[in-house]
Amino acid sequence: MYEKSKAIVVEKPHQAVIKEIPIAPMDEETLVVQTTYSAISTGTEMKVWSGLSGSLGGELWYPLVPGYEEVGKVVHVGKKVKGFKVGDRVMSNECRFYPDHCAAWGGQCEIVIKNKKTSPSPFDGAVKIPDSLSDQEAVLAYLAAVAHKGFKRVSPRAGQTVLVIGMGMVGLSWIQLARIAGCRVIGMDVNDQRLKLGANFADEVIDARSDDPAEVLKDLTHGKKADIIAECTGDPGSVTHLYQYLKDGGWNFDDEPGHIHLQADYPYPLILTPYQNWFTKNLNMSFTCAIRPDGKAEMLKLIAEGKFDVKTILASDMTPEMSVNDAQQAYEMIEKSKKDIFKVILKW
Amino acid sequence: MFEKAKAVVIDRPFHASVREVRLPEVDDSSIVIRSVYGAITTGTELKTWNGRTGKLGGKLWYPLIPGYEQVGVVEYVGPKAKTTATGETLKVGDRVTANECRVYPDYCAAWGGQVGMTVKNELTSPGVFDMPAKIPEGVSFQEAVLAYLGAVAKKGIDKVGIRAGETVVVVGMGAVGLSALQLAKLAGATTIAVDISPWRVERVKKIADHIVACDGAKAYKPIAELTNGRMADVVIEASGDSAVVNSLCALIREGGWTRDDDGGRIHLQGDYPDPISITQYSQWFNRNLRISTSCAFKPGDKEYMLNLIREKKFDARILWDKEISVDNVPDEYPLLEANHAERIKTLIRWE
Repeated sequence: MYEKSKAIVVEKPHQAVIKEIPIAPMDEETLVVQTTYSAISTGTEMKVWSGLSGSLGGELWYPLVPGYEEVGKVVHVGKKVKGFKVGDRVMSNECRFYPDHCAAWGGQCEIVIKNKKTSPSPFDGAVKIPDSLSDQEAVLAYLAAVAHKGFKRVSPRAGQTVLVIGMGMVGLSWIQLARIAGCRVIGMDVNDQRLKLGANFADEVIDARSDDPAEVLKDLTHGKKADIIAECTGDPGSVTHLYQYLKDGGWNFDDEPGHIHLQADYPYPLILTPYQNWFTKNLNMSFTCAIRPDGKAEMLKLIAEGKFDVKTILASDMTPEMSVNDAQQAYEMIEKSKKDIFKVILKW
Repeated sequence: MFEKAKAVVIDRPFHASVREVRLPEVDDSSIVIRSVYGAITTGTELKTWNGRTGKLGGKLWYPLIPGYEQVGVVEYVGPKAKTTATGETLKVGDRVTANECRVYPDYCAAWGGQVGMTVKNELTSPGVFDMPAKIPEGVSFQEAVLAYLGAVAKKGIDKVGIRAGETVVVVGMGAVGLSALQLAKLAGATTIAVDISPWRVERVKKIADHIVACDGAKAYKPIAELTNGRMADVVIEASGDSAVVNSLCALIREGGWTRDDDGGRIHLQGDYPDPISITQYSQWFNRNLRISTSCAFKPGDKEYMLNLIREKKFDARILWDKEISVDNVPDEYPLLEANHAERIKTLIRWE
């Protein structure tokens, strides 16, 4: 029934076009979603557009369909699909298979085929959007769910100091989740507008361009520094300095050591040196990829309950809305002024 | 009373001698221990000898007194001396581990253990874990020497948290790796020992479930064969080689996609003189893994290891392969470095 669709196709690095392409075949287990809104994620998606993604174990090639931040309405429900009806508003996200294109990760398409072939991961399923949320708000729930997986992995406790570096969508989500958990949250960035945006959510923000940001953090925490660091910039240079912001600990039984969570995608090697500065913190470091199976639903619920704020982000000048037909201009604009653009919302 | 003692001094990289040095002041809070046995640490101590240690935040300079593995007999206990980490009050004649002495009047202490008389007090041994540990009956001085690096491995094992039935790969069969391997086995793990030296892995056949003689950076294939492609739940890196660390993600199983699985773990147990470089990042974060680090050990860990040795649950004898007199230490450093592929550790006799 649906065999072709309009999609954003990155034909080679720096060249995106809108064209009609063949889509995955349908079967009785297929849900079809017509995209209404999507977003360009400034981290991972920009890297597939600009050619900085790396080989992804041989799974990245051009031409590709990018994206994973899509929402839309259900236009077809296969006989064996349960829990959805035509007209439901859903988060659709990844579509990991196209007959003639690489899916990295295939979401920027008007007709999104969701079935075992295109959405095999336990977290790939479509999730219904609560009535009280707009489509644009629901678009932002995907990266919030990415932060949610990392947050759950680290599980900060009330009263702990969490330093969140990088005020993009993932960083702002970390800040909000840590605040909900009762943590003291300090945000850090190198851009005035992002710091201003972050100040809406964090207890304090630190300008990483100051002479000695570690000293500023020390002053704010009575010399202790952070219990937990969530690195959300995607900048390998930021990782190299993280030990400076972490508290001391792990020598006795009552001095829990610090934890660093690397929440971004890093295009260049992460260098840890000198090792003595790291291991004398007795630190833990963790990585998470993508989202938990329940992540999207949990974030939609938090947003609907008014506990997690995406309206402030959508209202910011840094989050412009454009037509999907102008996708190439949107990518170019983000690359040119990356620090000043938080995210571009695309209307289909 | 205790003003001078014989010590190993490294005057500059590659130049060591044995001579008399001035000791830190013995005050009311001090405990003084006469060394009976010690050891050369093949990792950290050899790096203070060959100049590869790094700056230690500005705390490393020459001439220095190296070492931290010595044990001996208590000669003096000041009226205000602290108890051990487990709360015991020491008395003259007790057999104890002496370990670090972090201050000397004329030398850098890195970490000051290669000395005939160890002065332990608030200044030289400020941490609770720095305190001497009493050696139980039935444990020889030689075995007690190995409780120190055993405790270093124990802190790492506790941190990485091993569950019964997990597959644990230990890379590097020096004293720390051999200790970690035995502790992982005691925790109920299936163990795979990896070392680049066939001689080193051959001697762990009796304590490891599987052995692999290859560079830890190239261990993917043999470990895939041993685990039917599943790979390890936990990797403990004890080689001290940064190049091995950079390849470790390949040895860790897939995981971290469902609610009840946190993915695999890597514990970095070595001291790495060269930068650690994590790349390709997608290969690391796709495993949703955790990396932990630990330095030294916690209060009580030395006592715990000494007790395991007493109960014959931990084979300390496999952790050394040679014994010399302290006067031969300057000649032993270059020998250890030159023959490292077929050496583990040299014990030092002080009397």
